[in-house]
Amino acid sequence: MPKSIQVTISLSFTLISVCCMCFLGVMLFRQFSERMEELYIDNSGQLLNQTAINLEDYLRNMRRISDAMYYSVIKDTDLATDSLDEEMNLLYEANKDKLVSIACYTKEGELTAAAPIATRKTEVDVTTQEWFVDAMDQLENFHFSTPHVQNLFDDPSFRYYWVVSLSRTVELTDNGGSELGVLLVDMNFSSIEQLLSKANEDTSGEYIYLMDQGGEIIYHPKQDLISMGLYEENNRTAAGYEDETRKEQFSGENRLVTLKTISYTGWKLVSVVPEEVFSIGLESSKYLAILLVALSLLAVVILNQLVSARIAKPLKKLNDSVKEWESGNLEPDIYVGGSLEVEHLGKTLRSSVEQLRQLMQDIVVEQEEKRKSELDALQSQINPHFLYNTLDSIVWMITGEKYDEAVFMITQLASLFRISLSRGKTIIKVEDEVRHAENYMNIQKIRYKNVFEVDFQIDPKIRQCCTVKLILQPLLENAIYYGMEYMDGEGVILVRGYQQGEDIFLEVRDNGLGMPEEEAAQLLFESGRERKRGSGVGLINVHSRIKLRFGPEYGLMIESHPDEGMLIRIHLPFIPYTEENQRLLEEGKYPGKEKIKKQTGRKEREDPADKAEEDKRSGPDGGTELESENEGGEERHE
Amino acid sequence: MSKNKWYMALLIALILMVIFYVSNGMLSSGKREEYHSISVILEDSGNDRWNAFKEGLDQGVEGRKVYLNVVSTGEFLNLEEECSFISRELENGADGLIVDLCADDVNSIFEGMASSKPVVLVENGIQSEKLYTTVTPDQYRLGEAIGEAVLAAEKGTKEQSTAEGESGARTEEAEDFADISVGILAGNQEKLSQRQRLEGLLASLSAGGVTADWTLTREDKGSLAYYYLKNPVDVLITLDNDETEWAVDYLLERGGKGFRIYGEGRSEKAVYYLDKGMIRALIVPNEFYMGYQSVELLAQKIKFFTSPVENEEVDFLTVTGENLYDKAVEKILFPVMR
Repeated sequence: MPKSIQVTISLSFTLISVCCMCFLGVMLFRQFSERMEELYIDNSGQLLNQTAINLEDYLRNMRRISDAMYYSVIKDTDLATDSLDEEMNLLYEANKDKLVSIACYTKEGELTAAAPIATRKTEVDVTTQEWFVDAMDQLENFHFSTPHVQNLFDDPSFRYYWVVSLSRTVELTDNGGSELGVLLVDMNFSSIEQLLSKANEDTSGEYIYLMDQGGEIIYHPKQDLISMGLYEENNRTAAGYEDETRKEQFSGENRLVTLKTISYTGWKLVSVVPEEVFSIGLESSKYLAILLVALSLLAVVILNQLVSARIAKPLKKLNDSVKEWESGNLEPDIYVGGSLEVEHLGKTLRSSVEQLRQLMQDIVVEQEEKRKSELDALQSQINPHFLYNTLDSIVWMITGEKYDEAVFMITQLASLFRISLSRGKTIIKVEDEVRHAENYMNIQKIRYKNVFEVDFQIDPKIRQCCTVKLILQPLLENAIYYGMEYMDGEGVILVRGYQQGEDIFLEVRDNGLGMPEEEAAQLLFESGRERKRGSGVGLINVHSRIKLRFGPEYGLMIESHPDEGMLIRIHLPFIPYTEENQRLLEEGKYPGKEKIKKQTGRKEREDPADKAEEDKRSGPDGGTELESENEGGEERHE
Repeated sequence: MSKNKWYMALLIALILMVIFYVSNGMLSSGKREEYHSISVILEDSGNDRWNAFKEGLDQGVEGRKVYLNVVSTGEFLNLEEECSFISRELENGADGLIVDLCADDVNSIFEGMASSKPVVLVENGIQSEKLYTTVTPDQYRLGEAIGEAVLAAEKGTKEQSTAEGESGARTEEAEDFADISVGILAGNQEKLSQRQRLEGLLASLSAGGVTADWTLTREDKGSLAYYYLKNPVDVLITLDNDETEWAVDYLLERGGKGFRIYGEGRSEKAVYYLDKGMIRALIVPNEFYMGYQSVELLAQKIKFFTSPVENEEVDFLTVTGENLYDKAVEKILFPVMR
């Protein structure tokens, strides 16, 4: 189905815009989300590195404490003569915010020195404790334990400390001889916890945790929940990862995991960024992107509408003008406007319509001229015969001293010609046309020695209506030639005039020989007519002239059957005879039924006065204005 | 209006709807999210014994858009006094309550209050507990566990003394606990939990052939010395943390000699004296878990008020000097996040 220009433009522009905007929106969002992801990775990497640096720094301090104790105190002290307590206490006091205790044991597990000075739990066998075993297994190394509750000293304040034990073997000097011992620095786990908790503050879902080489968790923000089985962490798998960022799926969640190994201890610091953190961060951006796309789309759609309307509206108006022209309005108001091209089209079309109308008008005028010429030719054809015969009849009347009859004949002939002339008018009153017919028939009756009867039954209501002149006379002539010539006094011609609805009808009925229906129908067509004699051409002439004046629905209708006579009915519109109507009809402009109706109404309302005026103009003999004019015209002829 | 104009109007309406939806989303994403307030009413809320429970509460609150308010209380005289705390918290706009009821003869006042807001009962159930969400150990089973710990430890003691006296010969007499005298500090027997513990304990002891020489409730606690002096016992069994500490204090008064203590408790003091050997065995409910679960269930009930009642059971540990420093026990006795 063809679409209008506006729809096509608007639809295609809108589709392209929607596609472009959506593509742009998706690309924008993807770019943004990728950028966000990179940013998150960078941030978590930075946080991880910073935390690792802090942790390494802390652990380095612990090692330094251990080194200081070993190299500066233990190595220089002979336990047989000196005690480690004083220096150990000093060292402890200097670092007590990070330490829970420092202690030195012999390889048998006997306490050599401890700080702070506290009661040793006598029932505790340190040699079975993990830190001691680890230290004795690998003599040269530092050993960092996993967090545990310290179980060495008695604290009467009922406190128990979570510690990370840093243990190493040391050489103890006792009475000049050396023996192995274990130096233990119990770091307060809360220091490590604080350090890592700080890294986990102000985060929206991402977190850092710490585990040892085997994946045993040292610190986790949900450590207690993990130990209760209320939360799960992928630490065992992550222990096998390299120091890198990788994506993993755990518990149905995608997440970014970054690992960083803490030097010396082998501990692994792990940063976890769940994917939902991105989506939370991206939510507002997603809304913003959609909002921007939607607003742009709205603007583009409205703009498309406006632009397409601006382009299409002049074309639509032009098209409407053409449609109006097509619908029969011969004087359409052709739109000229819009863009240069459309304006040019409009101008051209307007000029073409104007030319066409002029041409049609020319054709009408030409046709009218042609009809007039035909009428003139017809009259020229009739008049000589008719005039010769009439004058011949008059001569014979005078010769036979029938002066009265001769005078009547001459009078009728004069009236006939007066009405025929009608001062050059084509439109006359029905009344005058009937009188013309009567004159004609009066003459013909005398000429044909009254072989037929004529009866005129004209409704007075239609007498003051407009008609084309000389339409009855050809019909009567036709009735005489075709119907009456062979009737021998039995012929009757009935002329009727009446109103029916908004139309008037004039009928000429004869009881002559008639003709077949088909032949009768052909009488109104130029091609089918077989010219016989007289004015047979007149029927077509009358038919055409009526159609020309009043429209195709008007004209002649013929009903005829062999031996039953013929009826020719003239169909005319009911148009009151006024100067304006007469002038319009003369110019070929039919006033239209509505206008006529109004005029009829007005006429009826104004009728009494008009009638009086008319009577006054007509004079005592009842003659019409036309008569007077015609009389004037006759005078001018003389 | 032509069909095309309808389509265009529809498209514009669609875009406007999207704009409205997105704007609304942007505005609401900037809004502060709605937080709920949870009040926790515990008897003697400052007591150490609640530390692990509070740790659990704190962990449970994380990421749940909940404000937690642990109401500062002392020891309640009766349920009416506790109800006055509950009433005050409800008036102050608490959206939910976690309550440790000090008695189970729940009157219409509590039920009236509890019907208006979600409530989770912890530690102590009530007779009509099917109407309430509870997070508590199986108290009868806990009492049984204390009895079993007593029997197990006393059996060990007898074996040891037999080994020392009769060169390790194991006799049938070792199984016979009839000569062991037992005193019980039963705590607040107005609480269903305490009554259930006592029932469980007595059943367990009875199964081992042990009968209690005397049983003191919280009201009689001050008469401990009187009862003990009148009828000294070998074993003093305590059914809650306060009673355990009280027993320890009395034992200390007596120079650490006279009776062996077994009981329920989890305060640092109780653990310390377990570590010191003055308490032979402690039954420790997993109160961290209890705190965590109570917040979780209450948060659910606040969100879906008509969600079905749940009765969450909390496990417990039997801790002795031997397993005190086991990793699994450590994690429950000494929550890391302090």
